[in-house]
Amino acid sequence: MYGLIHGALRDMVEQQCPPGTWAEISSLAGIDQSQMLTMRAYDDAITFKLVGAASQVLDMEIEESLNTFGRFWIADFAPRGYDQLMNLTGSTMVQFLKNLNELHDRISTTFCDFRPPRFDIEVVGDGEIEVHYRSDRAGLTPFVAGLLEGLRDRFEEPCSIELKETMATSDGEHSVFQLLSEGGFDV
Amino acid sequence: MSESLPAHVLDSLFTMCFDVDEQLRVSNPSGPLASRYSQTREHRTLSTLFDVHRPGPITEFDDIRNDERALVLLVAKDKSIALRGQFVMLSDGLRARFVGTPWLPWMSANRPDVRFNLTDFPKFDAQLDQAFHLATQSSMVEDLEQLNAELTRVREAELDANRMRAEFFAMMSHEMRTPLNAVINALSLLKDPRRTPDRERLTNVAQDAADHLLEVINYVLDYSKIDAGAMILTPEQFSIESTLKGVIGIVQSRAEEKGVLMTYDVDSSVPSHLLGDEQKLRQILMNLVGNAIKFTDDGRVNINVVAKSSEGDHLDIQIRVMDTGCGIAASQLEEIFEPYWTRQSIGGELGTGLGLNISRRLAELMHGQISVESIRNQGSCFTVVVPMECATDTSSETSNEAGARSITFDGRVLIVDDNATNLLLQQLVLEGMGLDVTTVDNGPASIELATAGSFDLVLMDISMPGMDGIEAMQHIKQLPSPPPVVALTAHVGENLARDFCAKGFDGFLQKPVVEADMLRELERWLGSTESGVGVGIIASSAIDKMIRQIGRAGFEKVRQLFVEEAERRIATILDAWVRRDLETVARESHALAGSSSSFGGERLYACLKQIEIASKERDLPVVIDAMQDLRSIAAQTFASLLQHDHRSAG
Repeated sequence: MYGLIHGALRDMVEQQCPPGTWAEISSLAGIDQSQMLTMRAYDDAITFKLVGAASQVLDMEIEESLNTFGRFWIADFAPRGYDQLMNLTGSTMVQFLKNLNELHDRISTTFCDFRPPRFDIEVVGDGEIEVHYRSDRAGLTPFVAGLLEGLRDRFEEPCSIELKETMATSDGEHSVFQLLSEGGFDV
Repeated sequence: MSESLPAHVLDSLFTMCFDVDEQLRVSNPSGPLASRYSQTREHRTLSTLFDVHRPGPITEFDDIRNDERALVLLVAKDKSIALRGQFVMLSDGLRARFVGTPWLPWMSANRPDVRFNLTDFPKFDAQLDQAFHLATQSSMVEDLEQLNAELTRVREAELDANRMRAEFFAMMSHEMRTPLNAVINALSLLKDPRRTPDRERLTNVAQDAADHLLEVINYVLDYSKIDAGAMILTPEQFSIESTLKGVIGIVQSRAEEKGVLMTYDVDSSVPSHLLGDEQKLRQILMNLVGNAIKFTDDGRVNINVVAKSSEGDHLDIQIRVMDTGCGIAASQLEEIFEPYWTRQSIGGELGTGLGLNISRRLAELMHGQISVESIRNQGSCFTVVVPMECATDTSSETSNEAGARSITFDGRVLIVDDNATNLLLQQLVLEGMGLDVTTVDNGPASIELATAGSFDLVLMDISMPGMDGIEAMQHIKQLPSPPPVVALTAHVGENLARDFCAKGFDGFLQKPVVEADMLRELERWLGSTESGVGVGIIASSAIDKMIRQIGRAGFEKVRQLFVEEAERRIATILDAWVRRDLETVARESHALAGSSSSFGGERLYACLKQIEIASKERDLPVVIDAMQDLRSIAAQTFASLLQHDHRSAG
C-alpha cells in the first residue's frame, strides 16, 4: 500500500490520541519516516504491522482500529486533500458508491501501483441496497465498514449498515454489506 | 474526426460539444452541455455565448479553420460554465465541431458552487489527474520536511551517542587497565625466584584482580548489549527457590568472610514454578545481593519473595533484598542507579558503577521496576517487581533444573573455532559433561569431518578467516542427514536468533557462552543414543519416562490421541490466524504447547509458546514468523514420534 495510507493513520493517531502515541506505535511496528512517503508503494506487511501496533498500543481490537480508521478517512483525511475529487464522485451516498470504481480508475493513473478494491451496488428493493466489496487483500472489511459509516455521516443519509457475510475467495475477500433506509435512499 | 460518426459517439468521448457554421452560429450542443447552458440550443453566435480565452479572438470562421490544432478555452457569458477543448473541421469544410470537457481549474476558482460528476470528464481527460496530483504534491512536500527533521534528529542523537560511547570507553579502559596491570605485575613478580615467600599473596592478588577484570568485562558487555537493544527476553519455566539458592550459593563464602548471615523466604502466594526470563532475574539478584553483602559488615541480608497481584496466570513477583548495612543517604537514592556512580564499600572496594544501572535496565526490559528505601547506618531494602506467569506445565525440564540434577549428555559434538583457547575451553567443558568432542579450527576441515563422521551437534564459530562459519554451515546442511548446527558468535544486535535461523542455523550461542545457555542448547539437540532420526525434535528422555510410567501399550494409545489432537488444533490455529482471531490462536497454542512438552516436543513447544505470547501481545510480525515454522516443526515432531516406535520395535 502507498505511504499515503500510513500518513493518514498517523494523522488519525496524532489527532485523537495523547502526544507521543504515534512514536510508540511506529517504534513498536519498527517503522520510520522512510516508510511513510506519500507516493511510495510499500509491502502490505508494513501496513499490517502498523495497524497491529496501533491496536496494541491503543488497546483496541484490530477490527475496531480499522473501523475507526475507515470513518476517519472519509470524515477528515480525504476531504482535507482531495475534497474536489470527493465532490466529483457524488453528491449522495448511493451516487458516491456507484462512482467509486470510476474514482479508483482516475487515481490509478497517478498511483501506478494502486490495486484498488471493487465496489458493486445492487438495489435490492425500496430502501435496501447491497454493497459488494471485492479485494485481493484479506482482512480489510472492517475498514470498509468504517468507510460506509463515514459516507453515511458525510451525506447525512440515515440508514443502517450491516455486514451480511464475508467470503474468502481464491485471491482475496468478498464482503456483502446490507444498507437499509426507512425513507428510501437519495439516489 | 468524420462527420459520419454519430453524435452520441462523439458525446461519449467528449462531454461538451457543439457545432459552429461559417457564420459562427452555434448549434447541436451535446446533452451535458445543453443541460448546463441551455442558450446553446438557441442558434446564437459564438461571440454572444462565450468569451474566448484561448487561442484569441474568433471573429470569422477562418480563425477556426486556420488554427484547428489550437487549445480552445471558452467561458460562458453568464459564467455558468467554462470549457476546454479544440475545434475539429467537419468533412464538408463548412462547419467545425467544438469537442471538449469542462475547464476544471477555472470552474474550481470561479464557480466552486457548480457541481460536476466524474462522468462529466472522459477517462482520458487528464484534468482530474492534475487535480489529484496537485493535492498529493503538498503531502509530498510535507514528507520531505518530516524526513529532513528526522534526519537531523537522528544525526544529533548519533553525535550524542558517540560522545557518550567515547566517554564510556575511556572510563572502561581505565577500569580494565587497573586490574590488568595488577595481574601482569603480580605474575611478573611470581617469576622471580626471590619472591617465593610472597607466592601465595601474589597469586591471590592476581586472582582477585583477574576476577575484578572479568566482572568489568561482563558489565561492559551487558551494558553494550542493552544499549544496542540486543538484549531480548527469553522466557522459560523455572523455580524461584532454585534461583535464590543458586545466588546464595555463589555469594555464601563472601558473606561468611564478612560475618553476614544470609536468609531467604518465599511466600506461599508464589507458585512453585514460574514462566519468565530466569537468567536476567538471576543477574539482577546477583547484583543486589552482592551489593548488600559489600555494604554490610557483621549483619544480615534477607531475600523475601511474594506474589503481589494476580490476574489469571499473570502475577507480579516482588523480591526484596534487605540488609543491615551502612545504608544510603536520601540524596543519593536515585543517583545510585545512574551509570558510573560508585561508592567505596566498608571494605574499601570500589565497583564499576554500572551494576545497579544494568539491573534497573534489565528489570525495565522485563516490564518491571527496581526501587530502594534506606536509612543511614541502619540498612537498605531494594525491591524488584517483575511481571511473570504461573507455569502451567512443570513436566518439561528447564536448563536450570537440568543443571541442578545432571549435566551429562550422550552424543558426538564437533566444535569449530579458529581461537585455540576457546576451542580447548569448550572441549574441556563439554567432555566434562560426558560428550565425545572433536575440535577443528577452520571451516573446510569442519565440512570434511562432518561428511566423514556422524556428529549429533556442531557448534560453529562465525568469524573465521577464509571460509566463515555461515558458509561452512551451508555446506554441512547439504549433507544427506546433516546434524543441527548452532552458531557461536560474539556479535551483538537485535533479533540475533531470527537472523541466524534465517541463515540456516538451528540455534545460536552468544559468546562468552553462559553455562545455562549451553545446557539449553545441549538439552534441545542431544538425547540418548537411541534417538536417531529426528534428533533435536523429540527429547527421547521424555518418551522413555512416559513408557516407564504407563507402559508401551499405553504410550502408543496416548501418542495416537496426541497426534490427532495436535493436527486438529494446528488446523484451528491456522484457520484462526487467517481470520486474525488472535484470541483463538493464543488459546489453542497454549493448550497444545502443554501436551507437546509432555511428549518431549521441545521445538514444537517453543514455537507454540512463541505464537501464544506474541498473539496475546498482538505482536503480528513475531506471529507471522512463528506461523511459517509451525507446520514443518509439527510434521517433523509427529514423524519423529511415530519413528521412535518403529525403531524401538525394529
